[in-house]
Amino acid sequence: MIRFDLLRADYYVDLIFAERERDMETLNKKNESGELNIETATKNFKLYIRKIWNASITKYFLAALIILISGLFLYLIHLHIGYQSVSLVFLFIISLLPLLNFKPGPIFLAAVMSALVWNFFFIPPYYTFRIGKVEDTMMFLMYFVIATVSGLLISRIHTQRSLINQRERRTSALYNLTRDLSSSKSLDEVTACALEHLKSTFHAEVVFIYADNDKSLKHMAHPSSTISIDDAERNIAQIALLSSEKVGKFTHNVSSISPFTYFPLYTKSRKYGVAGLLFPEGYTMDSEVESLLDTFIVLITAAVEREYLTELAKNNLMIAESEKLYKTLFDSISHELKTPITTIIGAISSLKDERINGNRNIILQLIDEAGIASERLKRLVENLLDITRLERGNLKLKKEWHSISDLLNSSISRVETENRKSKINCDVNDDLGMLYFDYPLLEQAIINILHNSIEYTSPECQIDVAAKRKSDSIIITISDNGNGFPEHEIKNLFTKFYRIPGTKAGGTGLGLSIAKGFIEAHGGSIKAQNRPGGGAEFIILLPINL
Amino acid sequence: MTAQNKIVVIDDESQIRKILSITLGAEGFKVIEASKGKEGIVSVANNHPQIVILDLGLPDEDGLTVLKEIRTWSNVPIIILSVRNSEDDIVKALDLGADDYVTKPFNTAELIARIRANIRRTQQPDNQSVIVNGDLKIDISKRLVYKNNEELKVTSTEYMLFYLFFRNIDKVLTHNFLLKEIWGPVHTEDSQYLRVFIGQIRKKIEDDPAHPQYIITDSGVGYRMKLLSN
Repeated sequence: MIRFDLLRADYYVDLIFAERERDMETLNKKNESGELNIETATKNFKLYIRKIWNASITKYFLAALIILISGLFLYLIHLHIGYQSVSLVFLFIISLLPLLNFKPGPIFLAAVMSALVWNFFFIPPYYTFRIGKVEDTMMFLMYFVIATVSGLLISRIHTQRSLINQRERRTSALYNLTRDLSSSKSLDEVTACALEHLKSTFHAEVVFIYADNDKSLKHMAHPSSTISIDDAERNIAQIALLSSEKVGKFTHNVSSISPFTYFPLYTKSRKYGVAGLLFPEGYTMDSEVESLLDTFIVLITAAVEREYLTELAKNNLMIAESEKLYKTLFDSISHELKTPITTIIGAISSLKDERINGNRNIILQLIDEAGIASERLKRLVENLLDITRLERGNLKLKKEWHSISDLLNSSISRVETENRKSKINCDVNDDLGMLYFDYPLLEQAIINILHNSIEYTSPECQIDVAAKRKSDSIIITISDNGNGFPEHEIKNLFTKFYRIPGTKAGGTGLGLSIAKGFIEAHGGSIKAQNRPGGGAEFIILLPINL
Repeated sequence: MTAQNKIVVIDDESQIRKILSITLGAEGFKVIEASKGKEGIVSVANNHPQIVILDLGLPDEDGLTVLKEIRTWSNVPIIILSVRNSEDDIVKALDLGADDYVTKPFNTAELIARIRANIRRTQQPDNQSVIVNGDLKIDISKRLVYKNNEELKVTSTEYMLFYLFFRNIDKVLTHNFLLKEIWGPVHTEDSQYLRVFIGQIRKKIEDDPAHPQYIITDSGVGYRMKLLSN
């Protein structure tokens, strides 16, 4: 998982670099081939001009007011400092204006106004725009140029700063999107995260519609979408999917009929869906915003594809697993079915043989073997039916009051018929009292565990069954003095169809998982462990209030 | 039958061993049981049985491995017993040197017949120059095949097939084996050749080629010449 995340991080770093390069390209194109792209250039220039002059009227008034007040103050003292110094003071004031957050427009106004005020009120002859001396004319012109140039320079610095700010906002928006997308763990999370970021960055209402296949969109938009669309809009979105191009407002395709802009989410390998954005009234789409938006869509598509592929991989794994399980199950069941059937057919076909059917002793042996095989078949069929009941989940318990010692003793007597030599000790107090449970089910569970102990220990092994009461539960222990379990296999013991590798033939790996299922259906629990002195031990815990 | 008719049964299912013990015991064989591959190999080495019955699915090692191991030092007939009635496994076993196969569930009478046929074959001398089966006869020294004592016209390839079948009466011969023996190891994939020639020899010897009496098809495995009474 960690490796996967690192890969993902790498991927996004690559994407961000790609985005940087694209920016550089755009900038270079602007510089090199202005004439190739006159339309965009004009548009950009207009925007640029608007940005410079786009200050509030109050700022213009304020700038004018500052010049007028300082003009008045200077008028009072200009006889003491001389009219040349007045220009220096004006320049000083103008250079302070940017610090007071004045835009280039008002600064320019202040520069022009101060030049005129200086000329009219301070340069002799007073109260005319005429200038008497040659050096004063020079001074005035120089002042005018310096004030204008500094105004323009300041405006450029402002533009640069706003561009840098914009880039920074853009980078941080991309960074945040990337971070959130990469931490999203499902398609729904990716969608929700994409919607949130598109909405907050572009102030647009957003709708996501995923595709069923390369040709058609799902009928319903994704439920996290911030706005819903009607069928007509859905059809336009469908065009975006089919053409793999942006469609709707601010695009070259059917821009007039839809208030939405639709972005197809597609990669080389597959089309995933369409994102529709409804921008607020009067929204302007400049190339900066457009390229940021495109990058957003690329990142979101990558995240969607990632989730899609993860889902696909998960599904494939599940199919492979289930095929493997099916094969194991099939092999095991066919072996389990065929062995007793072989025995029965073998025994019965032998009975026809003249050499055999004359010998009463052999006939009895054959019948015994056929009987044992039939028991085994019966147990297999019962196990299969039990596991089916458990799997379906509609196990209905028929609970009644029974005694625990009855349960254990009858289970033991039922396995003893199939068991040859090993001895089963039962140590149960009669005063354990009655318990409210489904008798056949718990009996089957106990039989399965006993059967397991008998099958996987040598015939001389001792098997002990004990039951005691501890606070509000009954604890049943079934233990043997055989070889115990391999320590690392204990966790798999109750897994359906699991058999410890290398165990002897016979058995489907169902018995213990059925036992567990039946005990848990009664609210109890079962665990297996090795005894300190050697041998295996099953501990069953049944709550008294079953 | 004498007590020296020993059979080693290598099968992990105790029930199968038991039933074989009872029935083969009643037929006069002495059955020696082995539940694991290694145990089986040791048992074959120690007891010199007349025949070995081997299950393919053993817990410790694959039946095929056991077969290979035994074949490195013994030619004792080995009958494969398997619940996997998948032809691939059987063909693999036969190509590795097994003599015959029976799939579970099996009929005891059939198994006993196979056991007897395999024992009989090993007891026959290898250098017989004339072999008779039903109405058919092959004279190996003269390279001639007869039906009802009339000489049949056979090509050299057909004769090779007859030779192989008469030498292995009642034994299944896999496609691989026949192709390799007749056309060489390069052509082991070309089983359509074989089908053509089997069709031709059936026309020459069978009364009704659609229902052959002599050359029997073991589907997916190979062909077998059935032993008919003379």
